[in-house]
Amino acid sequence: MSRYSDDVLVEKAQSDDLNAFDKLVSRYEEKIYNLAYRILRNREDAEDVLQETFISVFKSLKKFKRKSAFSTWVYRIATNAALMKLRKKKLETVSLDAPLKIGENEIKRETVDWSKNPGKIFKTQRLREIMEQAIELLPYHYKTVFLLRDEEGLSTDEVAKVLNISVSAVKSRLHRARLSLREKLTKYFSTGSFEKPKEV
Amino acid sequence: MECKDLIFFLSDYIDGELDPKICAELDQHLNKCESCRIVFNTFEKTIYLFKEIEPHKLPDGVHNRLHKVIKESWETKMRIHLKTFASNKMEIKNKKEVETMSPIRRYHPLAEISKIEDMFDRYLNQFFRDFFPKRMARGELARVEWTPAVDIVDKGTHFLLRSELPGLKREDISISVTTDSIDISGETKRSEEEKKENYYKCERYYGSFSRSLQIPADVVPDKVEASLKDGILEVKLPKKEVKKVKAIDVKVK
Repeated sequence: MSRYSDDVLVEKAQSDDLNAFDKLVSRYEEKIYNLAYRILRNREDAEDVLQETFISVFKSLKKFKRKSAFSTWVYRIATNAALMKLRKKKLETVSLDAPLKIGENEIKRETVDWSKNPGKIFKTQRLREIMEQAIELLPYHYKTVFLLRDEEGLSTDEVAKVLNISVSAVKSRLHRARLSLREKLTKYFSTGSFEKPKEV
Repeated sequence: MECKDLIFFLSDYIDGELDPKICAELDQHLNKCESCRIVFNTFEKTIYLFKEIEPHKLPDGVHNRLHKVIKESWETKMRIHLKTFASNKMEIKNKKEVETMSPIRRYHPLAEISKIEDMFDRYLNQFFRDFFPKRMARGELARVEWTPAVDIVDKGTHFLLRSELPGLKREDISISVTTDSIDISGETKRSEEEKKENYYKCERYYGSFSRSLQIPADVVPDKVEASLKDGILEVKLPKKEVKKVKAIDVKVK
């Protein structure tokens, strides 16, 4: 794998070097696939978004002025493509901005500290499914912030740029997404099950 | 600090972005309140667990299909590029045209201000482009970036795109086509002679332009033909008849 920086590869790709572009694609394909998969929870849709993202990137490559990082630009195109897909499928009947219901004002007395559970409990396939389901249930705007920040490891500033929202919006959505996920895991560890709320 | 306040500060606390004073209060509270300590521990663990969640490997064939699609788009673009410029139809008669050079900038003491002006112009230009028909946005503003006017006509078997590109040579134009979109870009330049002239009025636009257009139905990029005559670019885009089917590798067990 080449150790060229994104910038160098972008410059080469912009002067018609297919090889350089291929390297960029290889560098990001798995990240974009995972992002799309976690938003859409469907392999075919994730692959469609992956292809659409890189075809868009390819088409607008010459216009990319390198004012922002290549990764920021790619994530932005990918989140938009995933949103388009969601809209087409009309998976979400509620508003994208729907407030996330979390018991913020009435913290229950916690008695079970599951964070101290033995390590192997956290490594089960079942838990991974639970966690992915929990992400799936987040409203779109919380999901994207959470996935980019905590899963992809982007900085708060980068996430703000990708989603074109303010830094404070990133922070508050991230916080609420995390709280909601904690509640779901707490429920799972205390009752051993994780019910999917009925769709309204 | 009370229990109900804690929950608002958890993320900032964990991300190390909390005001030191509040941070100290929070530490103090966590020391004496067991329930909140559990909330904090499980919150921190949640973030950790999700960060560690294993990414999905690309399923079989996804990588290859993606790179194949990209290679095809790339080759199509290159073919169009070459075809357009190899085409006899685009031969330019006037070969004595003076070679162009990048404009020489005179030192301007108020350069910074003019940069801001440029920026402002660009935004204004975008504003006009969004709200008014193309023609009205031209004139002074159009010098920064301009947009050629385009017609697309449905001719039954093909679409015909006509675009006004006055004063352009075929070398100045670049066209790329995919099955459902076309990009036209290029640059108009002033010749060296023109640049030396003393201007009384200076309204003609020059500079780079670029237009991306969606084509209303799928076309066959390989059969696209382009010609340039009397300042009008004509691109013939033959329609594709069969709907596109995505190739999916099927493994037989």
